Amino acid sequence: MTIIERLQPIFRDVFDDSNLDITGGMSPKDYPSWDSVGTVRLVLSVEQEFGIRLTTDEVAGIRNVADLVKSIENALHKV
Amino acid sequence: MNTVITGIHYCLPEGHITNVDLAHRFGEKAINSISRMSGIQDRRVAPEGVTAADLAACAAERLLTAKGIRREEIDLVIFASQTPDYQIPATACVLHERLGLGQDCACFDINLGCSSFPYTLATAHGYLMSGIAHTALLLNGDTISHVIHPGDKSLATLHGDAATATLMETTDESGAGFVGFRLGTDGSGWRHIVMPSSGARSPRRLETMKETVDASGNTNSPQHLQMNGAAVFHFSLYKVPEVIRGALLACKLTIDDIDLVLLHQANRTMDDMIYKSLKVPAEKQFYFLEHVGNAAGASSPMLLAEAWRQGRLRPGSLVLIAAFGNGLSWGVTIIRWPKILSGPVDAPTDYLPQIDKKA
Repeated sequence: MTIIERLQPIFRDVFDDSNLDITGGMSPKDYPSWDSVGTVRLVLSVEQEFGIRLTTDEVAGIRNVADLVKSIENALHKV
Repeated sequence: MNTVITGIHYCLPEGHITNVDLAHRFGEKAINSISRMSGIQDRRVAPEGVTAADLAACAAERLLTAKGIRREEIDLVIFASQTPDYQIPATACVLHERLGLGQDCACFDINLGCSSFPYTLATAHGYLMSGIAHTALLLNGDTISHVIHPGDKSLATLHGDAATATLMETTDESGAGFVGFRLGTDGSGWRHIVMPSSGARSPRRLETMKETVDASGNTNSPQHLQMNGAAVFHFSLYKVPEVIRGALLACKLTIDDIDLVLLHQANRTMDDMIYKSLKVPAEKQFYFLEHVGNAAGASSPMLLAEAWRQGRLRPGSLVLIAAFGNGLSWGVTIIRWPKILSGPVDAPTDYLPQIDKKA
């Protein structure tokens, strides 16, 4: 299973939206419920799901789904 | 010998920005969502022309009058703010004149934001313990609403303005006073809360007035405060509990020993999560932001003052204060309240223009 496939249920759960289908290019601009608190909730869920810890700079750099995937990949390489 | 807080008071400006006002600006759905997260319904904001120094002078006048302190007794004034009256001179010097203080009085500013209160306490503690000063007046205040772009939903919905005045003196009472301080910084995160064009590095000019809109629809410019909310939230959730645990360990204490845990009132959800992480029981928690907003540097001293006003401080109480914010900067202090505790300052908290001698 790819990282983006594992992220799909996390996004649906965080935003309580069973119809949400994410893509790498999806950003807060495309999905108004995705605000800064949404990013934090996503990151906390991701950290639990993947057993990783993102840095504050990595969280600061999340502008879209692809950024989140990249941060997860970086963190997984460190584990 | 130790030092103690012998009085504290706060001052709020007359203006209000309610969630109803903000719903007209940003839409009801967005404001409902943010308010559920922040726990804030109303923000007290200063009109143009009313500064943090004005609010601090008002709080100080009422505090000194209530405590019966003669002006010439004050020999240390620290004004902690990121919205000072002037870049030059220190606003503490301006307040020295306004409060009618004597010339044997050291006055200086501390440029820190939400974390400032433990730093002003630690600095005054050092001056008093060393005998450099004997009676300290600490003024913590910010009018952050003046540096936030009105179209920035992420900041305009959180922040209010306020100032506090705190009196510190020495004590010989055994066990009373400051138990410990833990101050720290992660300078690698300074960019996460910044006003890019606000000083010598990037002076304000025509180009820095240019507005941009981010992916979440927030309008901003380099001349306004900018915050990466997600990064700051994430930092606070991990760093603040870690630092509090470290402070407790250094003082050979646990949360069980603490009577009241006061956190910078950034937003309700963040504080709830920090309390949960530290397993702080509900009776040791205290909030004061629903009707005032996040008052930046004035937030944690105002919380302490309000806890005193509401009877949450008792003789011998052990109180932990944790403040954190831009820098990224944090500070924790633990205070044992004296056994003989005077009552809270019984004075109004609303700003009254020209209460001081030379407004």
